[in-house]
Amino acid sequence: MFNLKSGNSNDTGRKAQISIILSEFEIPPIQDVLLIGKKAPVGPEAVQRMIDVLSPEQYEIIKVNEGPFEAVVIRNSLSLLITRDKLLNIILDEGCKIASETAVLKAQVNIVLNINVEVDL
Amino acid sequence: MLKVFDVMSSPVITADVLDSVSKAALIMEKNKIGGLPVLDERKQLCGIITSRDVRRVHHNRIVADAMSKNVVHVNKYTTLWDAKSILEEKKLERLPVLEGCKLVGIITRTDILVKIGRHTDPLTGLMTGSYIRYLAENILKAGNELTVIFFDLNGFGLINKKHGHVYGDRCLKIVGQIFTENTSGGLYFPGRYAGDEFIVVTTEKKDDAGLWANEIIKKIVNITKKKGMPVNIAAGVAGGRRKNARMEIHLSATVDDLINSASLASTLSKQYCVPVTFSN
Repeated sequence: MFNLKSGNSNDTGRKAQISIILSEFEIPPIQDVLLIGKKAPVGPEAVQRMIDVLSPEQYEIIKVNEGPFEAVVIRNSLSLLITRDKLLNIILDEGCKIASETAVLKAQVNIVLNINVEVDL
Repeated sequence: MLKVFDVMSSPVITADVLDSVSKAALIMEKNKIGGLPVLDERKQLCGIITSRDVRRVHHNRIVADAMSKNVVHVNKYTTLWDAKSILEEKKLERLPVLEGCKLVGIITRTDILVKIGRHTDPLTGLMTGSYIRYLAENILKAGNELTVIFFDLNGFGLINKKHGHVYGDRCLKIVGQIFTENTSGGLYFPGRYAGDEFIVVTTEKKDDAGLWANEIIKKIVNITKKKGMPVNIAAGVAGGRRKNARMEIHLSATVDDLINSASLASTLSKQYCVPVTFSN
């Protein structure tokens, strides 16, 4: 905090308060999935350039024409657990319910595999 | 033939693929233009952005996210007529012009229509005599053979007096259409010289040109007869027998001589009632 002193001899005691929140910048900043609306402020080409620089070879951009969306960015590692098309369908179904064409939505996807194996004793 | 480079705007105002859409919009507004070719990091053409694209997307986007990719473009040596066909077929307003891989200009539909309109006879749709003369000079300049065929309708003044000028205009229109339909191969270039006179230039030798003229005359006689407006036409052929290269400085005079000789030969055709006469 610091005092702002005006040159006015009739000092009224005006002050400014600055608060700072420091947090870690997420790398990559788009988590697992990014849904890009058709009229969003950022388009797939710009996102492609961003991920090429920040997280090369970790994401795939899929152009879609589904509801309000123009493209979906998916983290490659998710495709190891579930097929890309299956995941894409689920995400688009849910995304279409809440998003508009101007939206850019990021999604965190947790996939838990439940495995039960029966073995002979 | 008029080529794209005769008409295109150059140098071209462009946008960079990483420019913001709002910057592209500003460039368009400042220069009063409706579209910008987009260059990539290697300065190669990679898209085109129009004022319509700008209206369609968020202004924060980069040009790469608003432009049309797979740009339709033309080579600078493309003829204006081919460029016009491409614009009409693809329903486009402008075409970037390339020389090799380098962007060298841009041509719009309006540029083409204005230029073509200036050289087109409004009645017959054929090129004007002055344009055919320009074309003839270019044929000579390129070192090619040049043959001039001059066509003159027989007794057209009488047709006008007997049936009226509207009827006469219809006859001319039909004749013009026959020339257009029979010169699509790119070997013969027809134009309306003046009144009831037509001119065709070609790089074919005079004998072939004479045969072609004979065929055209037969068609004109038959078709106009069928349409109930019979006309007869006579032709004169000049040139088409060059042995040595011409001096470039005499191109214009040579073209004048050939047109004059062909015109006199067509008068002889009328006098002797033959379809085609070759000039000496």
